Amino acid sequence: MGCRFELVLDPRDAPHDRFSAEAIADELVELIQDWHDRLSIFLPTSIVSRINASPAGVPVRIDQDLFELLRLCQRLCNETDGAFNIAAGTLMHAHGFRGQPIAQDRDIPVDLRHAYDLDPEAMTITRNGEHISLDFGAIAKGFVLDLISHELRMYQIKHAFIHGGSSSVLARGTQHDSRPWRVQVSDTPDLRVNLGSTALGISEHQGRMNEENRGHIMDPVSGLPAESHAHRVVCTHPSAAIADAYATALSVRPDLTDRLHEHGCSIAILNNDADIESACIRDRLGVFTNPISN
Amino acid sequence: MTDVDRRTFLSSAAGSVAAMALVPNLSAFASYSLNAPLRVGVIGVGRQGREILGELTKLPDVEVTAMCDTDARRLAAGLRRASGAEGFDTADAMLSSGKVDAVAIATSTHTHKELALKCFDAGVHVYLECPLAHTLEDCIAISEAARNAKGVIAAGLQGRANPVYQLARGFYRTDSVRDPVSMRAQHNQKTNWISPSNDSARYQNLNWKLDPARANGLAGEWGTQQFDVFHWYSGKYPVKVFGTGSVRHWRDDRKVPDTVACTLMFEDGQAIQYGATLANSYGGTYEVLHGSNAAIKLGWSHGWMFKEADAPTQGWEVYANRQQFHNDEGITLIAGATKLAEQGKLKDGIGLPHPGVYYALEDWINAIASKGSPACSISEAARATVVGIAANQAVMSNSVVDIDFAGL
Repeated sequence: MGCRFELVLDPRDAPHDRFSAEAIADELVELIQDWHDRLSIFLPTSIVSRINASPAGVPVRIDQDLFELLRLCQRLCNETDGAFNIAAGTLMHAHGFRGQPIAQDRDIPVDLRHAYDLDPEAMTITRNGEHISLDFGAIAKGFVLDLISHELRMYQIKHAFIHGGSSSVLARGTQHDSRPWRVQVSDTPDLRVNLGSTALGISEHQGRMNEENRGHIMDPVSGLPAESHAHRVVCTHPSAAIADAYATALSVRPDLTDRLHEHGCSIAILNNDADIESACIRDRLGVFTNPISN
Repeated sequence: MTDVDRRTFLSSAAGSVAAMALVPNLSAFASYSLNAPLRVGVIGVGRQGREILGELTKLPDVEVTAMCDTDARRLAAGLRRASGAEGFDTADAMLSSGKVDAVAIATSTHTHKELALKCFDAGVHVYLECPLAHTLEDCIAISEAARNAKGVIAAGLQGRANPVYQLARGFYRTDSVRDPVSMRAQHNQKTNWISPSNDSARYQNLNWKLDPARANGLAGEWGTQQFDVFHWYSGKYPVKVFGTGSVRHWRDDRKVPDTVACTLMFEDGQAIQYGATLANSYGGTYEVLHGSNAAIKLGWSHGWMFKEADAPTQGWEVYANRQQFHNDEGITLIAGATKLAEQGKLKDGIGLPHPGVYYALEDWINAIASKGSPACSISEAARATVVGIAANQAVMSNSVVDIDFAGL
């Protein structure tokens, strides 16, 4: 994840004093650090680095927490016709987003939808190619926010606002004055989002560029950097992990908007002029305000 | 570095000190081999226990087959991190299950004696977290029982198994540092030391560290690890300790100071200055050993040597990189630097890839595989624990306390 997380915990209505609320914040910070250490592709000792370094075809036994995350990723990959795929890390390497020069041979010989296999009985993952590289960058922050949401429920904290890297946001309850938590999408004055107990994910097509000036979001189906008119995608969903994953998928395939809306998210897609180009909103999840919900 | 470069460096460093990062040659570590996977159980899967679980899963030929915790929520969280492990609510049930050859104990300090003695009796290999105990009586009981234990018994004083600390100790005990001058350590961390819970009974159980009757305060719970580094490096133990402490920040009616300072005195007049706080994180955790030729600073994943300008140049400096430390220009020393430089990976050798507990566990497993001795024995840990208990007594009484190793 390698980014700043900020937590606003409001122990109103919860059986906690200030000191306990600070202790809960400490626990949540440890949770974030723990998953950073497990999912980072930049730490050679992380479980993901060990999976990526394992020989192709050899099952690697993993723990239940990681296995469930991988199952979620597989499900989201299917729901998005492969537009969201953690195996897109393979393409990040090939297209110069991992510190190496752009590979001369950028042909990816296997369909990334079958990049790895999961065995629920043995609790293992097997990579189906030496070049396959898993990267949880498009879902890790949201996933951790969902874990935090679970912890907050355990501690009976009903009001909180948390973001990771300012692109993954989770809100619970309301602000202290009972107004909803409100997010202003940067550089887009027309797009504010009132969040109830829901999450928001933002994917920006040109967040990072390689030496060929192509964006960092990969199309796992074509094997190339995504070519899309979507400059920025804003997505809300009860699950922060799903909001993140759908935002990435829609950056690759804006045509999936209707389908993913049916899966329970609100969506706003912005073009290069930061104009809101299309939206499926005004529904039960996260209210986009001015001008969309006018 | 050429001669000209070295002269240039020494000239520019005149009037200050030079720093060299001490980086171990990790490839030189003995790898172990077991005939069958070692079946390990973990007693206590709170924060420390879960870290131990995570590191055990990285080690070859090790399978976490069982764990136990009296707290159901923690046990469930632990089981999610070890596929195939069975959970137990008591150590007795786990030990009698026949599922473990070795056990890591990571429970609260005041429970160590009862659990350690059960494990010793069961004949399994034991890794026991430190401090060993919260009272002298428990410490002596553990120390005595460990002498008759059948398995390999390792104590979790992590410095002794830490590759950086092992390398730096080699320098400390040579002319590189020369005459020992003084020792200093700190552990600064901004945290309130509370584990939250909605249930008051569970809250009391989880927050044993804030109960003076069940824990050794900052000086004992944290300081013991660091005091042992000085014991191990210097080969001697302090005879008296003065301590003081108070609550500077967490004014929640706690009885345990959140900030402490100790002076541990040796017979020859040398002293360790120790400070710890829960109110500020600046500087983190480190130990410094000053000598007349150099000072060594140890930061658990990294270590540095700060040479005096008049200290003799040594051969290994040829392999060093330059490194800046505030006003001092230093050089980085990397063991195996020639090979790494040939591969263009010189800087990859800086810093340990794993946390300290990984190396302590690896050392324990290695000792089991080789039927050898672990880096830290129970008897050494018992001495460090006695020092930690005395330091905490000094803090709580704001006085000088004699350190008595009788009975160990």
